[in-house]
Amino acid sequence: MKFSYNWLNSFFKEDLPAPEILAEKLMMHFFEVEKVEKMGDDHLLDIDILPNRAYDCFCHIGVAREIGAIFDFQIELPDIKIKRNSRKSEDFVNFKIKDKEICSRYTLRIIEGVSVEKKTPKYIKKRLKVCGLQSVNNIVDITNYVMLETGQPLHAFDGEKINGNEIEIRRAKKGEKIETLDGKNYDLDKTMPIIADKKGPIGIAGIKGGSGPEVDESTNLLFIEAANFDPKTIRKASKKLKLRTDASSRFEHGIDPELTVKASDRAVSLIQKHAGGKEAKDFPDSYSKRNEKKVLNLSVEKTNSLLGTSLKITEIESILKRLNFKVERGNDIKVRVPIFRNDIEIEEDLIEEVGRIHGYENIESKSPKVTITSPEINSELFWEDKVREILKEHGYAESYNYSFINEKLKKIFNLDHPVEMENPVSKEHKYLRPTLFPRLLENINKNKDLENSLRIFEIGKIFKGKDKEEKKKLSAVRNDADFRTLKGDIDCVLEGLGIGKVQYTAMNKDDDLWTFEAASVKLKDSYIGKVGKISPQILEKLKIEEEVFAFELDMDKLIQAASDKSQYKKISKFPAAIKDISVLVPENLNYEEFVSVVENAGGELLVDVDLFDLYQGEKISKKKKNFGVRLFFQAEDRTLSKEEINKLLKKIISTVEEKSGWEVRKK
Amino acid sequence: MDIEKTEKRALLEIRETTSKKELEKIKKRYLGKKGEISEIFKFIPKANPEERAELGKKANRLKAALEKELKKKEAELKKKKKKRRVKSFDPTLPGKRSVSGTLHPITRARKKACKIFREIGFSVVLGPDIESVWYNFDALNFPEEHPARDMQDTLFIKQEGNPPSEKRLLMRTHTSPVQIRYMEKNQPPLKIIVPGRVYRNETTDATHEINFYQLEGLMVDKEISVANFRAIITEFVDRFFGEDVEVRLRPSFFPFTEPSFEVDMSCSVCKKKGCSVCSNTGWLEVLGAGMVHPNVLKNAGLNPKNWQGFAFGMGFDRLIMIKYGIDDVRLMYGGDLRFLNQFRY
Repeated sequence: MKFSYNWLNSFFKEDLPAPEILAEKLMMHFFEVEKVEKMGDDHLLDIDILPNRAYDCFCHIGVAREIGAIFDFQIELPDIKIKRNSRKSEDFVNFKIKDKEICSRYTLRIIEGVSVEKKTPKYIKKRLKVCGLQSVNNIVDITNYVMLETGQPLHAFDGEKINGNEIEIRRAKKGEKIETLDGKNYDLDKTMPIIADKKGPIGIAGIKGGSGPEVDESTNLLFIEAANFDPKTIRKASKKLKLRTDASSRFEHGIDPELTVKASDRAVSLIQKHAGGKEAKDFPDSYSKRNEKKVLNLSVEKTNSLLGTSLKITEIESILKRLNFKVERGNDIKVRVPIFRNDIEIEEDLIEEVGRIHGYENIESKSPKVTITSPEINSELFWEDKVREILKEHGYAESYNYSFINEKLKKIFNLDHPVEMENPVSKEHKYLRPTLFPRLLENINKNKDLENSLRIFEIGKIFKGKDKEEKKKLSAVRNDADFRTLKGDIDCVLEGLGIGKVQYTAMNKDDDLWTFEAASVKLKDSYIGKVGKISPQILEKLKIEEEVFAFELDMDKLIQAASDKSQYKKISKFPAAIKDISVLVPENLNYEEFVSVVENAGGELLVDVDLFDLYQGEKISKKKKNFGVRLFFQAEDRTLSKEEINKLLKKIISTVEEKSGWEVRKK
Repeated sequence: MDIEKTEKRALLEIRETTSKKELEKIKKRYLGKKGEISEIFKFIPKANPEERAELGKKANRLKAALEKELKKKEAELKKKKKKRRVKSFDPTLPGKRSVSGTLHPITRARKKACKIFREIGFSVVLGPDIESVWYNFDALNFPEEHPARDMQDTLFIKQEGNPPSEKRLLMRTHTSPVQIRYMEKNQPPLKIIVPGRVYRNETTDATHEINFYQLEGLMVDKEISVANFRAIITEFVDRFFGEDVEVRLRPSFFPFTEPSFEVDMSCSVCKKKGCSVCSNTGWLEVLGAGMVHPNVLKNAGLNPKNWQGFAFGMGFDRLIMIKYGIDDVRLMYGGDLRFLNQFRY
């Protein structure tokens, strides 16, 4: 919020320090000053007033009070002089608050005989300019000026343009419309607060005045409205209408209801000084809900315990007094909170006041006195990081992608009912990702000209279904590999997590994302992921030309199954004997089936079987494939004799050859 | 015939040779068919019978000695040749590396931060990304329908029906809901940090992202103070940036802390002299913090009369950007390998 340095200075007898130094002090004891800028003979201070202090500090007097507390200066408010005539307010207007929820106080000032002019006193014009407001005419400028000074929004309108001399404060009726002062039209609904005359809305209460009773140079009878509107009602209406104004932002934060009279006094006094006129001898003021005066106890011990200081009671009292609190000493300090400080509700609020005026920079570091507890290891992150390390070792780069996908990706990947945002930032971020692949494949596309070999992975949350369930997935893509390489990558991950064997089964369902060369991965009959070749149709739509293989694993399930209880297995002292065999089998036979036959025949002494060759092609019959496997024979207690090994090999060969369509080619 | 003399000469010749060609000549001269040694052997039968045996022995020894020396020299020359070839060696040719991957800078920094906090006794805790209005706002003492909620532009999830306000689902705007979730289930003393992805309904630019990372901290015990917070956070910032960094606290406002402060650290780029990174202030805003508001303790089921503590939350992306000098946060979520591959070391 913009503040004028000269204006702030005008509340003090003393000279304030230079603007930059003042800004520094405000930052350390009040709020951040985002900008200091010289403007003519004045300076603009842009102070970031946070919501808790909007109530009293969206105005120069509020900030001046803070400055007074920081420097221990007395603040002086301008004098007020009002001239009245003998007319009664009821002769001009009657008003009714029809909905007390909307408006807790309504004060109306009636001034007769003003002369509205384009010309506004120079000092007012200049200060308004520093605060970012354009000059309109003397009346509007003065109402704005008083708002910036006191925080109370005022609305001026031409009393003679009110239809039927009646004003009511109520919610709009269905179908009511209004044209505001800037010439825009708004449709109102039943939740919106309005000011209305006999004919209809003349203003959106607390937000913007209507063009009907606009003040212009012909205006003679001036009404000044100073009201206190309900923050929530204003906030909702302002959001609905998408109309934020200086007034609405003040009302939605709430303001002190005591202000309506104080601010309108100031406005009348300034108007009479610069535009003439006399006020009626009384003014209507409906005040339904007064703020309660608050008294709090503040313990010196608690203050020092929370801040980590050793402040004396006198120091604490002095700070509070500078902030306009009244203090009495008892067991604790009894603190009377000034009416304008609605943010102060509990003892801790007072401790904050003491802390910030004392200065946080004056609080020294102290190591905490606490019970020593040893931190727990987060197993989720532990295993996740382990997986990251493994994939990194295998040449994968880790990517972090947006949690969102757009309509286009939803279509390409044929994603059913992804979780949808109610208020997406843009079309790009309409849905939550139900899979990590769309963005990972985009990563491949983005980097395709960079390197021949692309390996990218991501561990992240995906979101699914009606229950808006979130799951953690590990997905990896690469353009330099085949099915078995990806399977090997999965093996490495599982090995690192201490997870035993998993089963791979060809997917029997047609899937949009995968080709037939893909399998689902199961751990003890529970589905944990998929691996395989990505559908070329999808790749084509993403403008990726080469083949991409990928896998996706359920991180939650992996973490559940992970175990670091690996056991050392004794290395046999006796040498292993190695024999290679080559077997022709039907092309639809799974390797796993083949191996289990070999392993069963080989028994305990066959310790390992490695596939070293897989052939399918011209040299053999069309419906066949060839497995070349290396057999490792080893005993833990002796060196195997030639006879033993040959006997075993013979047994394996004969078992294999018993199977129909299996044929041992080379021994 | 002086065999000793021949041996001496031959050996000397072999030793002094520097080229393979010359060595071949020497070999031919002594061991060739018409070489000196052949001549000696041819001479032996003609010698005196009593000298013959002795001569034969000497000749054989000579032959063996020469052969040995020749072999040695040959090997030596071969070696020399190799050394000469080395002249074409170019150590500046690019190295051939085996493929190595990289971890995302956020992963790296998160690991580092977690390690530092673990060493000073903090456990690492995680929480859900989809939150309810209750955990994200209500329980954290955000007044209902209050502009304080606008401080964090919120992304709401489209839901069927009309759930009550506190059950409305949203993308968490901060990691602070995990404070509540953790305190509901655990009794103090508490020392946790919470790393995680958070979401804001913001138009993206160089410093704003729709999703980014936060690191939340919470410490609750009998007598935890602002002074204690200062000690812990200074320790963290020092160790995270690996240098002596000054930390300053200034007033701020968060509904869930009272008092609240903004924490700045002295600019690690210019050492407080003022530079573009710190907009010439010498300070960088790194986190928001405060003493846990009694209402927050109450909402999580703890009695504020017995417990007090601090909480803090830092924008992790920003911290990483400062640490590595990254000028656009969008790089973090773009999957560009030219960016990602820079974080190897």
